[in-house]
Amino acid sequence: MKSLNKFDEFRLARKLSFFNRFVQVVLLVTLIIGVNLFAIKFTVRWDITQDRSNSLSPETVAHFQQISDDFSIFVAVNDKLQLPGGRYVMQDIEPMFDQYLHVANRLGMDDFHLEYINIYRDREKVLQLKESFEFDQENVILVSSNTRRRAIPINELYQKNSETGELEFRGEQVVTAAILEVSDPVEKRIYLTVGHGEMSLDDADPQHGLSELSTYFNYRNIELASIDLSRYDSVPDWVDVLVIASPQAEFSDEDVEKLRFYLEKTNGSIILFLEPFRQHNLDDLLYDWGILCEDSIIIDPGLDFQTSSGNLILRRFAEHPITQSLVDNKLYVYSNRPRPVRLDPSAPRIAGVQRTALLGTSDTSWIETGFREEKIPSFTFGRDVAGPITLGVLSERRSAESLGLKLKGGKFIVYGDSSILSNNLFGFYGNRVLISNSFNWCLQRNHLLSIPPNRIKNYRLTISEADLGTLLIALLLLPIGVAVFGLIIRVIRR
Amino acid sequence: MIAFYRIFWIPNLFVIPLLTMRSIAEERRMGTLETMMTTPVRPFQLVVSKFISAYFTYSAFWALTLFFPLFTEMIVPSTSLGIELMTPFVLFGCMLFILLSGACFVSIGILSSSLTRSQLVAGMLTFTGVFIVIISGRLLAEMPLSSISFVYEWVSIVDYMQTFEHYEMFSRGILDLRPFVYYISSTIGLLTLASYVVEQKR
Repeated sequence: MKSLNKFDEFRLARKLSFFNRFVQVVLLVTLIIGVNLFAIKFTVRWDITQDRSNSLSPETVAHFQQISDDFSIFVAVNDKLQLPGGRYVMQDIEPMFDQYLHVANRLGMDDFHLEYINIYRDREKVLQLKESFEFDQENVILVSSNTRRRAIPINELYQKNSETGELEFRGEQVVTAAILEVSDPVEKRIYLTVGHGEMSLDDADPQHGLSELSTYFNYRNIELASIDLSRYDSVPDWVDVLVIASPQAEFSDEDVEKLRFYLEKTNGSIILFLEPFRQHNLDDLLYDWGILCEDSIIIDPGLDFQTSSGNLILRRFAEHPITQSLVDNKLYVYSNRPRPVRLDPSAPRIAGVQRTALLGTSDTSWIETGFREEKIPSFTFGRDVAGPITLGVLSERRSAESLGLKLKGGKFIVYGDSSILSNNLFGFYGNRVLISNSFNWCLQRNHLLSIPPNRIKNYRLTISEADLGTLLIALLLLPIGVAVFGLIIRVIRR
Repeated sequence: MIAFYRIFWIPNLFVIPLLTMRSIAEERRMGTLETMMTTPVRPFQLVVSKFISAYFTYSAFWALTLFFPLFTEMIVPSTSLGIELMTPFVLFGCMLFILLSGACFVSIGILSSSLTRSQLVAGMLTFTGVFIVIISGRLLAEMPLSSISFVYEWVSIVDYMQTFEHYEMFSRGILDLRPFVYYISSTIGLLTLASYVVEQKR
């Protein structure tokens, strides 16, 4: 009998078969893992919603393509945090950042880092971030790039629609603006004039100091510095925004011309904070820009418009990007002793110059012109002007708008009160929002205002008891019908 | 609708074992599997046919649930409805997820059934497998894995396999290629393993 080939032996055949099967399984698993890794690397996504609400706007994607620096986002938000109405905040935040991750992966941005931090579980990480970001709030989103950082509190992500009153989620706008801020290679600088007794950045005095302002904007990657205009022939090009904070002495004619040239020829931005009873020699400049600033004060005895310490509460704001968030969030601005700053009716109309009254007092206020004679101010018919009184005006020149282009034009904002900047009152949220928006408006950090917010859809069915009963019966029909069908089949099969 | 389909895992944990536990296990117990293998039917064809029948039944069960929003829209007065109840992309996304993930779960059941003669054991294996796939991802995500340096890389793998995250994505109207690849490749892999088992045991 012919002896069996080694490979024909049963045991060896079994072993070979087993080995063959093992290799097949290993190859199969490897193939599946490889296919999945490929899908992770080259993923594609389709947004089938009608309004494409689950995709980032084209503007955000376009801005992402321009970013070359690496940046990180840390989401330190409590999972259980809810909005009024019961909606969880993470329901909006997680899908939004999922989109950011997807876009970053698609664009090959390997240096984009996103991390969710549980503020109760990851205590070490939270303490690390608190140290580097120097924030003291819970529930914030932290954006950082190199040495620049920005903390976004959760309430900035939501706004109320002024028409419908519905809550809207504007996370994409806020987060993308923050990303652009921290990754912007060009550092924005705001300069405060000195030499006329203005308020100082280094001063910690509650009434006259601006140390709080300086600290606040440093955290937002805007550097505040001082500039003495007398040392320059003109306002330098590297001044992004010029702030004149409560001048106590008059500007020289040369300095006024420098300011005029800066505004009109170089399209600069000036924010002027004035105090009553101070001469500044800027009346001609104000007149040229259609602004009237009278040397009087505003009185408002209304109980709803005064704090216990005598500060005025300002609640009247324009529908303008600088003040819109104050309107939407029903915020107030506190002012110590403002002077009126109004649109000058006698100023010449200059083509391209648009003026907006930004904020004002209540109907119970008036411009008190006889404050020097009266010990207790009272409204005098024929002499005093009844409210509401404007105390903040924006005058801006827009060029080439008819061509559909938005080119930088001169911006001149005048507020009739410098106390809103001071350490004493800057801590109030409304004051900070007003100042911050004014600065950002002048810095043109409003290029994302066109990203529409997402409407938060809350569903509620309102039906009568009878309808509810009918609905319950209809919904039970299906499972009962299936159960009856099953019973019939069982009976038939028996 | 999103909240309704979010509890997909509860019926799946019970229906899928019941649908699949006797598919191959019963054949082996009755001795009909060997008879079938003598016919020109390949093991893979047998497995796929079992899979298709179970999957079709599973899909039919879930398709019936589409009547719920339909009944509601028919019965509730239109003045009470501020929004569209039957939002197309939500319904489409939810059903697509149910069908896609169901293929993977049914294939787990088919594989479990091929491993044993006992229906009960097959049912328990299926329950365990589906439970691990659905629930373990969520449980692992709750653990502070990112704080452990050597498992930090595994966090992304856990996130990739999170079934609830896939559901949330689909129900919002985002169709991502990754869950498609994950579920379809898993289905094919599990059915292939089941065919190997059937072939091994004939």
